[in-house]
Amino acid sequence: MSLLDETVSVPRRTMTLFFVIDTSGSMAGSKIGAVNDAVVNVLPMLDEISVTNPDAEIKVAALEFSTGCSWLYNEPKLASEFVWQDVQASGLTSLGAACEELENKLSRSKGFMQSASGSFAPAIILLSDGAPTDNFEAGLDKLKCNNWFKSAIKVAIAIGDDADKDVLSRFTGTNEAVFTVHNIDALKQIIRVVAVTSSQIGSKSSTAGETTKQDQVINEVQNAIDNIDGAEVATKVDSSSYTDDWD
Amino acid sequence: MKCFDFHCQGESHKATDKVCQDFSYSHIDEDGLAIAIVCDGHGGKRYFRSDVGARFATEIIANNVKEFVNNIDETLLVGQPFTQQAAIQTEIARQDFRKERPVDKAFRQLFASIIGQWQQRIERHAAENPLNEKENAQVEEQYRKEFLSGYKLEKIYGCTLMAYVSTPKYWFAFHLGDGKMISFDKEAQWKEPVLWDDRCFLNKTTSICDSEALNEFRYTYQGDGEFPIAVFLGSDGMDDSFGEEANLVNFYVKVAKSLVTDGFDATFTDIKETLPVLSKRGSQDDMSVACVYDEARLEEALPKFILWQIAVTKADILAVNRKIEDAKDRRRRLEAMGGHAEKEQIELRYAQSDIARGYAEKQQLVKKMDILLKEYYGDAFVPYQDEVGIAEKERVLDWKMIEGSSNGIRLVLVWVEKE
Amino acid sequence: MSELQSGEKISLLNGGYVTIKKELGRGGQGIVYLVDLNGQPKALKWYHNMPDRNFYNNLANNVMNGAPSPAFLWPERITERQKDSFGYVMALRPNNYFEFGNYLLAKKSFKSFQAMMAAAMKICNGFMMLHRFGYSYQDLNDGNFFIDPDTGDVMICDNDNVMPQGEKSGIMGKARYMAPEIVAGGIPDKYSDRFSLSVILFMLFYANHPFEGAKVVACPCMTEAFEKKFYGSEAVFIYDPNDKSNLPVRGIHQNVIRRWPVMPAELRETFIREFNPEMLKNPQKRMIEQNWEKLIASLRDRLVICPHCGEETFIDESKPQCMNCKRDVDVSRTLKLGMRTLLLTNGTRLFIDFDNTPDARVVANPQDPGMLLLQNFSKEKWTAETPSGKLKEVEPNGLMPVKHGIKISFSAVYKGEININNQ
Repeated sequence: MSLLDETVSVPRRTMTLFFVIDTSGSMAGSKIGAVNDAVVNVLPMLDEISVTNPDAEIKVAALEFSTGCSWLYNEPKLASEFVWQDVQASGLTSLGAACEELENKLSRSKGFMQSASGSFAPAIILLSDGAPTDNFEAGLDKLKCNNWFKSAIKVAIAIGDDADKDVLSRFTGTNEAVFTVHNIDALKQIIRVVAVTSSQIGSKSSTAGETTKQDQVINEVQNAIDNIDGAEVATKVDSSSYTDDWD
Repeated sequence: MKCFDFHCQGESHKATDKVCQDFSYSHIDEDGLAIAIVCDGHGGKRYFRSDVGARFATEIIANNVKEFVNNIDETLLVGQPFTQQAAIQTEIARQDFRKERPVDKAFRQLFASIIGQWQQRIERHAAENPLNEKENAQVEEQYRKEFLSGYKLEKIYGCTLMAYVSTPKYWFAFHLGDGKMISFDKEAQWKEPVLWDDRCFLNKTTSICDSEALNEFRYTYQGDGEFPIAVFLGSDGMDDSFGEEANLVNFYVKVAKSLVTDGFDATFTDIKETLPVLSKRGSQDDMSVACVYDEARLEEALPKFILWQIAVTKADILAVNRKIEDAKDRRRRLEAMGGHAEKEQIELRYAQSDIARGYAEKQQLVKKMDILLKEYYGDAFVPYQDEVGIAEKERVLDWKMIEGSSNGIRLVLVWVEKE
Repeated sequence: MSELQSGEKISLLNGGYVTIKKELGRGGQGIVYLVDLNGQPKALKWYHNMPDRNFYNNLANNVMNGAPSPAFLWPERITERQKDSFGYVMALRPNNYFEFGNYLLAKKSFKSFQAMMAAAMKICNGFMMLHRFGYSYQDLNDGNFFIDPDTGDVMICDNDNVMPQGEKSGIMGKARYMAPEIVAGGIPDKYSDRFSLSVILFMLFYANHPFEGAKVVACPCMTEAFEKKFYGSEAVFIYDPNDKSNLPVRGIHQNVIRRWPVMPAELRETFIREFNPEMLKNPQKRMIEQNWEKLIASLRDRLVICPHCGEETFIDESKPQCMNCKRDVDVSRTLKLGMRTLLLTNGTRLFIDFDNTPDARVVANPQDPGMLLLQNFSKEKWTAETPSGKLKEVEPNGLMPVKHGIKISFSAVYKGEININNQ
């Protein structure tokens, strides 16, 4: 057939997985070490999902935030090519700035995204062990207007009890998408589970009707979490129920 | 005027034994009324009769458009300049207090009649067709219950719709939901004739089953004598297969050229073969295309279509060249730094692979360019060439003189391109 | 067809002139210009074609008689006949007023039910005054009404087609707003205007036309023959209890589908009665403006602020529940005002007379939130008589307790008594 010759390109669809990582001073030591270790180990798994997936290929981007925030690379890279560079921990927790930066790049013209046709909604994994020290509200408000963010799979990992789970719930839009870990081993496992699950579900054509991809991810991670010692779903008693009312 | 349309089951639907939920239609009658329609039934388990909904929508649009054209006061449309109307949203989203003109009221009546008759039709269908064996086996309980309750039946049949209509005196087009409509003018310039609705994003779309469906119609009309020379309507399975819109447009340009050079039958056969392949390679989704075109004017515009493709390809080549040059710059900088730190090593490898990927892409583009140049200039065409080339020149390590400040001239070992 | 240029001077009947500044807009009949009249900015409507002598004389008459009520953007001056046409001068419409059509398309919505009720009241009053002046309105459509979404204030425009009753301006109104007998070829009068009023009010409350349901959307193109049928000879009210052939359709008539069940039952009953086939055929039986006013006042008396969610809600005394949060609303405290019963809940504004401005507000006692107070919002001093017979005065902005048995004289005409049910 001649309609699909060299002059017609049919690119693969893409799904971008964002790691948004707290590298403030309190993360120093074993926590940041575990994060580095876990991400390095999960990348080959993501590559495998990408390679064996007929629907889409997976790209990875990582944003670290402490006193300010910065991208590991200035473009999303294929999982197979993403080389993790260990991040260091020091400084404050500028989650508001990170939200604004994420908003900047969740766009087609000046950012990381391609045309919405041919793309799947991104997956965003936020890791933090503390509370924002900057104007988180302002940053999140801007981010919440972003169409890509609205349709993204959003999951947060709260490291320890000092993590502000209310803030994380507001980022993900629901407290059910906030998973808490209490030890280093659990942290490593949950990063793997969350990254793999989000990528699997995020890079599939959706035919599931009313269940959003985010809900599917939450369900699967919740199931997996029962087998991880020291990890739990944020309980429903926290105050995020009122934020839901305001959506 | 000529027309065609085709719809086929998506690759992923084959796997799960789901029928094609797209429906398409095209027709030209003896009075010169041309219609092209594409309706795309929603995927998702809730919308388990969306294939029926899409078929009904198509039939109703075809009938109602004919009646509309036969009865409307032509003076409402004749003489009108190219006019686009967006979906109506609440004041928060838009500050549009345009006065509704008689022509807008007429369109609103047409759209209301489409929704109204579709609603009646699906209600009747649901009453006459209880859940069948397959539905009982496959549909989740909550949606079966929804069906049995008769509440929000429209969701079960939900679909998007778009249509292009032309008469000898005017044309109009309307759209509700996603998918893309592309029109070409006599200069072979393309546009989306109907305004986009930002609420259609990724897998979200507005729909005939929405409670505010009437306000979600976007439409365009023109009666000042200007007509598109070809209009293509494609379901979202099409645009999702091509990613960037320029790729989709390029495909339609290929079809347009083929209609001129290979004729209608060959092209239509080709479309029927291509769409399933495209679904497999691209979106996996159902695919449909409907088209209305003006043969004579398309033929006149043929060279311009090729020129457009050449221009687009040229722009792509220049973009790749910039990427290659940029990666080479990075490599040069990193090599000069010695490249010992781990971070530098990583960046260097990225620069290398970016260069390699850039050249691979370049080769494809140049190949495409040469095909197009040949098409345009004939066998005497001059193959495309530029200073960046299509492959990196071999590099060798060589000594290079560096003028130091204190200890005079110094030799260092660097990579240089072989002459 | 004549157009005017900026700077041009147009002489007025009975002396003076206006200077053209710029075009503001144009329609089928003419062009509206911004003009200067003795240093005042005004609007001039200039006709495309010279209307006939009768039309001109009628307009000149209307100018002389003055506006029936402040709701009308009435012709203030008329020009001499010149340049093959003529025009008339009126006040400029302030820009916080939006065309009624925008409310129907839900591009604009009322800030509150209170504003919606104020608009309804003002329209009723406008029609009533129009009829008292002996006029009838001939060219009614949703482009004639401009409404301030915050206050509900209404301006009725295009009053050049207002004619003494029994005469016909020659410019036919839109079928959608015409009484069936006018669609069939009759001459507009106050009875047909009453029909138009009920259509406008229906559209104001429900943002849909009372006859536009399944039957009307069966047709892709609204032809004249079709219009005559569906707004005239075969008009069927969408919620006619005995004829379900014209029910509103999902996706099209969403406003009325949503609002019909939640607005007060009394309103539903009134429209069902006004639009029944009997009433469509018997113009003399149609509800008069004063009764519409009473109905709207009684709805407003039951429009309160929900103490639970803080939203406005209409209260049906048989089932006092908030429309929004569905929780029970305490309606034990009321103000009896002749035949009327005004509900007293915290935050609610009271309309004692029919002038469309609130005269009182219910507030909670800051020291004891369980206790309600009444604040005098009017410019008049109230006189209150306590159950024990003491006379007290409540100054404008002054407060008094909501206590069983207190009688209040709001003015010489309006006297009420506070009633607390459980005491």
